[in-house]
Amino acid sequence: MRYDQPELGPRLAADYVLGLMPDRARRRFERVIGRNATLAATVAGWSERLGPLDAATEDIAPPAYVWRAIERRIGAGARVAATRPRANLRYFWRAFAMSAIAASTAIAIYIALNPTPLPTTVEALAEKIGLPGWMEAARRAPVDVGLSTMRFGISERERPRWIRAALLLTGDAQPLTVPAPH
Amino acid sequence: MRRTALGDKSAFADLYQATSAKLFGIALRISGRREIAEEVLQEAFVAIWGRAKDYDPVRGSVMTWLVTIVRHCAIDQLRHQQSRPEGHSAPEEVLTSFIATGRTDISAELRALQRCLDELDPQPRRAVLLAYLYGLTRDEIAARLKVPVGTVKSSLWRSLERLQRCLGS
Repeated sequence: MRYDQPELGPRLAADYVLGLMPDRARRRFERVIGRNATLAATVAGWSERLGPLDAATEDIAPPAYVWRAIERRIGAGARVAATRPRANLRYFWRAFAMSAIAASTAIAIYIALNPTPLPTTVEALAEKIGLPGWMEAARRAPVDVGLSTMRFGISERERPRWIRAALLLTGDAQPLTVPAPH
Repeated sequence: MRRTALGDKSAFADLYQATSAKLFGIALRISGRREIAEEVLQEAFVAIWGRAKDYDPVRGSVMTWLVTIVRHCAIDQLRHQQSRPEGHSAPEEVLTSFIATGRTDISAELRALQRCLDELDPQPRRAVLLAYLYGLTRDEIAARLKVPVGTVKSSLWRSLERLQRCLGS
């Protein structure tokens, strides 16, 4: 199948995210998106658009024996407890519930309160709020932050905020080469 | 996540602790039955443990990756069963309940999505929601909406194109 046909790629990506692919086709498609960045970005776009439906779905605590069964199956040598809630990990899930707006605001506020943020702390924050790697990518290639927001599936609307946050982070006040959001 | 990929079981336990309630909610929404959702969650986390090193932050957040795995496990389970869950309410009601619960943490994205879904005609909107919320196949959607499969195919794609335009991305 030719995944790079202009019409076919987006349709397959949408099918994949909607859950309409038969399982064999889906596994084949997953191998393709592993090496096709354009298609992977299309999939990420659909996940971002429809993901709020999952984020809004009610949390229901699974019974404890589910974790015990998982533990047995992965062959836990030493028993590990997954019963005690850990405050710091609340961010982890909240990351998903929070919109990109909240996420970027969190970073912007964090940066505002900490004028010279320790890079590792900002990175950890980006990871906690669900965009691991983005800060690193933005820092590595500050002129490329516009593109990197696209790669990370940050919506066009949100892009200027993220670009500002990245510029604050990198200390580059002149966004001369940042592509303007369309 | 990095630590889970390196085989750190306590990191994996933390990951489970932080995400399992949301993921179980999603598994239950799709499978419609508790015992099946429990099985789905188990399968999904065994898969997550095995595939943690495949997670690529460039392709999206950890949560999106986990949700994708859970959704697909739940859908696989559904396809392998002959009987369909009975208890699915109308998908529009589910959507309304998301908004109507008075929660303050409803994301701007969800509001935007609902506004754009509202702009679709009722039948295509229902097709999109039946697929995404409940994991129904095109054939099942066609049967439920009492329209030919071909109609479902074309209307799903047109609806998604409209959604994409409406969401402005």
